[in-house]
Amino acid sequence: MKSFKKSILLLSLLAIMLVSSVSTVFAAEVSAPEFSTGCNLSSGENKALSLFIQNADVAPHSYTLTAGDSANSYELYFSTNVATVKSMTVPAGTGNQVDLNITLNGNASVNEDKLTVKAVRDDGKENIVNLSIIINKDYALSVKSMLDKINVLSGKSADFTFSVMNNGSQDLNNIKIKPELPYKWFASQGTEAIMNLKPGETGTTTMKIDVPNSQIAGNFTAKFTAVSDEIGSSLISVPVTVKTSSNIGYWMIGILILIAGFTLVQFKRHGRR
Amino acid sequence: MIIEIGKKEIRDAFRNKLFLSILAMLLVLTVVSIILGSYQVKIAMDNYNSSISFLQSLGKAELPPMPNLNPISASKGFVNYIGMVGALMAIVLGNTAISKEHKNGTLRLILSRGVFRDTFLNGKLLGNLAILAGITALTGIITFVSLIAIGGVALTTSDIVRLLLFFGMTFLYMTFFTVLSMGIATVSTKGSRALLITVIVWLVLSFVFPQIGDTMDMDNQIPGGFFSSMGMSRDQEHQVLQQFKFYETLRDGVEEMSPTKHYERISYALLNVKPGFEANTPWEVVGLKWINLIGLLAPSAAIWLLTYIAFLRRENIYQSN
Amino acid sequence: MLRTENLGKKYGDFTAVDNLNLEVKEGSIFGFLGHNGAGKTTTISMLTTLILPISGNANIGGYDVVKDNLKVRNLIGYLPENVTLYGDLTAVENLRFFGKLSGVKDVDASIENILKLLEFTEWKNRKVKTYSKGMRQRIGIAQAILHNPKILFLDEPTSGLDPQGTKELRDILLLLNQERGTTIFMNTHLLSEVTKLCTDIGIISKGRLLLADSIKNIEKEFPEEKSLEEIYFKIEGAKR
Repeated sequence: MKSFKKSILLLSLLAIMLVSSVSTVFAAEVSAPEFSTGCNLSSGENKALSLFIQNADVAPHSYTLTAGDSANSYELYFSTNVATVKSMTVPAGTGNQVDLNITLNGNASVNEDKLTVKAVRDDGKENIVNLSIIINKDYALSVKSMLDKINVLSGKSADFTFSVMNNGSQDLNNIKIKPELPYKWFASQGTEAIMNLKPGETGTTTMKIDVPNSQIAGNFTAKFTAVSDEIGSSLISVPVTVKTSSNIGYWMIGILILIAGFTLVQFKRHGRR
Repeated sequence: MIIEIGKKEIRDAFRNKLFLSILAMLLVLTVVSIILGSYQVKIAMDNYNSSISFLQSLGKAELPPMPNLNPISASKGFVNYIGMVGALMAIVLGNTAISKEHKNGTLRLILSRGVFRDTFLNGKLLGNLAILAGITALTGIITFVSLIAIGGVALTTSDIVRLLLFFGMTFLYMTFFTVLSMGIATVSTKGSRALLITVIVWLVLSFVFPQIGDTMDMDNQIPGGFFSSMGMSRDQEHQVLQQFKFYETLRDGVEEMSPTKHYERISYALLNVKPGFEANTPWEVVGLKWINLIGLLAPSAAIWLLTYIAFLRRENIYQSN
Repeated sequence: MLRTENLGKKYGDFTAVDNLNLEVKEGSIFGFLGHNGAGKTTTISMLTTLILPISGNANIGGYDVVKDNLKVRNLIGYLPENVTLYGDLTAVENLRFFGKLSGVKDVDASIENILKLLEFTEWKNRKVKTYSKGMRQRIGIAQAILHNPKILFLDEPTSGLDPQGTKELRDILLLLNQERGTTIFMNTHLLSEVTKLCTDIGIISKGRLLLADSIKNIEKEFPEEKSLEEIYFKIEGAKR
């Protein structure tokens, strides 16, 4: 019950943080070269900015959306409450909301960045909004896998070792690794391991992942984030190649050899007929 | 002797109306599925080309890269047809090979010649494998020609090797059912009964066993998932599954007994229908899916050896039906 | 040519052939008599190496039917009861296949010779399924003698034949025996055929050989019986 309440509290806090961090920007009918306030962003943090596309024309129009021209590297995509979008049609005289989702990839090269959002109307008319992005360097957490690729046999466990670094200027507490694993895979050890890191410090932690017997061989992706009380890191993907245990093959070949031996004995005993 | 018996099998197959009907059905389905698949590839190619032309007309310098059209996945439908019609054709072929000798009373004649029982079986198998290899090659040629002529795509070396390996697996899959059918026809004294039993075994192996994997999965018992419906965390789910380890092993084991499942798994990986194998070389895919290859080869070999034993030991093989 | 010593065969608890001691001389036509289920076909199956005896042994041309089965097969020709051959093939195609299995060198020339001998050339390119029973039986004989065997085994060869067909078959067998010196071992339950064709007979009942000798000797041994039929029923009756 306690943990449930804690989860509810955390969720509420997250919701409040998300709402407070969202800035509303209006796309005007004409180019607006001045910078609008965008958002504060930490490394690995996801933010959604709500944009309104106003169609003042008497006819409906389709708008193609793009974002770019930034100094730092971001993962960017547009979405409505239904799905990810690249363009949208706005009826005459109305406005539609679209969210721009931003995640800072890696470390920021500049702390004060800008982002240009373009809405190109089907008749070629362009609406441009410049957003300012302030990189919060107080809290920055990054995680990386010590191995580029993991090989594991089905039904066995694999150790994933991570290097977690505090890239910010403040202490990070209770850092944990959170896995996002394929169906029926489980983290059997390492989920409760906690680290506290001072600015610039790097820690390592290992997580044991159990791959089920039923897992057929193939290439999979295990995703991980490092989460502290203060901030979360960006999601990293670790390619995992699952191979079938040789034991099954040995069993099959063993049975085959047994049958072949039995056949040979039959031939020896009774001769060819 | 083996060659003579094999050659006669090939000639006989093309006089067998049932076999010819199923073969015609398979070829029609193959042509339809490959042509449709090739058209899909062509449509995707045309869409890409027209969007590139449009962007170029707008004066855009940065053009999107060509999407992965994965032309070899045009054979996806073929996997399903082989799974059903191909297996049935292989069963008819294997059953007729043995039962026609019972029916004509010619088994006594052949085995009173300088033909050993194992030579007789080997000749029959050789002939039938040659037929299956021919059919596989024919469908392969149809696929390659359709992809190039209709799809308009240039296949890479990797694509070609993947397709060739896929057709190799198709041959092994049909071989299993021919061997099974010949084995059951050898043991049974009645050809019609043997055919019925083989079809039942095929239904179980191809439709019942693969379904067990899905339908008997605990999580699939309730729409939306058993564990999420119960509001369980992944740790709790893990704890519950730990209690059902034997059940899970049994369920997986039953699924592994299906050659159809093995054929589908390795074929979908080779054809890139199943995601996750795009970056692998064709041989790496086979290396990863070796268990499926063994799953196709080992049962055929085992059944063949057991057929030898049964045929070598049995005395009442001459009853005609 | 053929000798068996205590030859036996059982199917489960049922004794099909019990301690069979038999000798067939080279160049003879041996009629193996017995009612249905007496053990005739089981005996012929053992002698043609198709099934294994459980006791005793049998030699054909000096070769053991179990140990030297391949050599025995090269010496024998065999026509089972009610054989239909491959109906969708012509006589020539059937003969070519069996000729190749028997290792006949110039198979096409041998087929021509046999068909001439059996006066069958006219129908050689017709599918076997279109033949009458008598014609099928003749092609059956042709496949059995294509490789020029020393001994020919026939299982109920006149079964289902009309009188004309029976006569034709009899003539063929006599021709083979006289011109080629082929020893003939024939299972039958038709005493009239035996009288007209055979030089020697054996009578089997419930797996046991009751009598085996030349017809001449048998007639001497049973002077009161007027026909082979009477002799047969006397021996059979005595056994029962």
